[in-house]
Amino acid sequence: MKVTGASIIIKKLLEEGVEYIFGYPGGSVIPLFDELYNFTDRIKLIQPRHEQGGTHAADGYARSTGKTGVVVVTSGPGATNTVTGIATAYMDSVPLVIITGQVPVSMMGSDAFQEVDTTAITLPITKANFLIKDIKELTPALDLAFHIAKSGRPGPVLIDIPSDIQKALIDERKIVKGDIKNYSPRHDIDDEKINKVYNMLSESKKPLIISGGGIIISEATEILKRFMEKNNIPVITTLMGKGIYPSREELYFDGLGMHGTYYGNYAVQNSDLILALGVRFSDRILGNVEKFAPFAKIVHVDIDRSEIEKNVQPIIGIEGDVKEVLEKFLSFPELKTDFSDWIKELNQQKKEFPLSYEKGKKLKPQYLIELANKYFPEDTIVVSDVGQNQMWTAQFYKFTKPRTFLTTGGLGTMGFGLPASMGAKVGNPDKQVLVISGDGGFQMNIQELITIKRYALNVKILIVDNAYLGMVKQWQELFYNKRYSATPFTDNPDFRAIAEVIGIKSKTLKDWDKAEEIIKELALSKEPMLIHALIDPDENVFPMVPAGASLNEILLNKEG
Amino acid sequence: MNKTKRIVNVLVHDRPNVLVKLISFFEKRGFRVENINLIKTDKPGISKYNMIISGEDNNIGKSSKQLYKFVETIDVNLL
Repeated sequence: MKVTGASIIIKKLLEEGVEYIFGYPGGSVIPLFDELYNFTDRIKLIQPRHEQGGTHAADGYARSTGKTGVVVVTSGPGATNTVTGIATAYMDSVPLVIITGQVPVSMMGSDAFQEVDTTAITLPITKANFLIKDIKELTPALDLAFHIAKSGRPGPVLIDIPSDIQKALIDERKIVKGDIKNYSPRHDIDDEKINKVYNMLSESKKPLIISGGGIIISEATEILKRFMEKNNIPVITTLMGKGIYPSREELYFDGLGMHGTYYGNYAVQNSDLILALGVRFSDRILGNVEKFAPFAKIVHVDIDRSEIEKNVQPIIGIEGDVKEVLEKFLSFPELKTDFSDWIKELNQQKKEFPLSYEKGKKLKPQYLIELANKYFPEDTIVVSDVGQNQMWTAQFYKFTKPRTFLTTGGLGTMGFGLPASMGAKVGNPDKQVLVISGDGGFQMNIQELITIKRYALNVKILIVDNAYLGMVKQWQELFYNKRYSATPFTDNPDFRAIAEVIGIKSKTLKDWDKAEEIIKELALSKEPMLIHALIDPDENVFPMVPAGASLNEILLNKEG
Repeated sequence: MNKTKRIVNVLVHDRPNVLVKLISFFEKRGFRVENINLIKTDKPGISKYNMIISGEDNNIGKSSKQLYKFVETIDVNLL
């Protein structure tokens, strides 16, 4: 029997268990959308108002569920509109499969209508991409794409499929499967290295675990908790690693880096042995790399071999799945060394230099985040945008479960929050989803409010509006003589009115005294709701390690 | 800083654009690709690129390890 390219694609999606696709039609994907029309009972389409929104939504779906997010868009502008979303997913190791339409094979290279060299554009921001020039290549490419997106260190994979290939016929018996074994990274964890690390741990006085996004991706939070609690090792997390919280709070010291905590950075700078698990040592956590962790031997575990020795030189680098590595560590007997002095020292720092803000007067974003933390259930998925809102959320919301904090850590994409929250809700209909966004980022994908309305996605939206591009303004205030070039957004519209026109319940929040009641209402609302909070425009994110400074040179407030 | 030259051999799965990836990999890190040879191996689907890379410092070796980021990379050797 002969089958079309489009039917091969849909069959593959069904085979992979894809329940949702995030898609937007266009000239080069009409055959594919036509085939999809036969399967609307099995594959549901979430159609954004802009392809960038759709890509972030697929990303939010993937981050919150661990499944691969699927995007379908047309050629040319459809494809280029996904680029920011693909780069965002690539930087944070999120599995996506992006299917783009392309002009017919015979027209490629002729500057045809809506033609763009999609695979060239996306080459540096995908794990792999494929351009299909013959229907025989389609099945192998689809097999490889879904495999590569999820295997090893996950990431986005793109398949560019000309419209004539979608319509072309192939005899089913001639279809060849993709040879995935060539792209199945094997990691034989070196037991000798594991032994060495265990010995180093037993000789250490001030060990510290830095838990990164790899711990979340490999579903290793429970095993890490068991390991650290068994051996009394303190833990801090990177931005991407949020979502592990030990049952004993005395072992947890929040984050590190530019907007980490004072005590988290203190722990790094005073530790004698750091276990960096599923971490890529981004410049935002390192500060001045020469002065990073001056007393520590560093053990670096990562599934991506190219990360080891990239930014810091470990004494031992272990290439492998961090969950398997932790299972090996856990099989060792409990460490005899007593770390209680070290834990006491860190808790003393935590007590002396806690995260803080001024209470009871002007409306502060940190207060709203703490209130949200109080009234939303523990398994709520919180999505941030980028900038001050992101850092406040990371600092003041206590994330106790994996996949509950979705944030664009690597690329720092404004406009990520709102659409990503849609994908999170689609993938987690039984959980609450709260997006905390600044006014700038919210307006970058504000059109997706219409998508939220269309699919009745019960997303809770908290806009912390300081009428500035706040993070840039903070740098201008501290390092550029308060020259606020291009950062004031004092002409922001009334977001409550916009939400209401679209049909989303909304309230404006101006006063400290009303905050608790309104955030409670947000948490309890049975339908999507938006709070437009007009916060103190002068509030900044502290502590702060200025770019390029050592983690010791931390500013606790404007005065230093 | 001394200018150095190193030979970097990369064994890869044959895929479109591997050559582009390899060249841009070195160029964006500030190195120069002086020479590149593609050698077919006796295993179908696997090729070897022999490259001569020059740069201002001694980091060619360190950077080359990051070639493992590519899903196509099987092995990297420095001479």
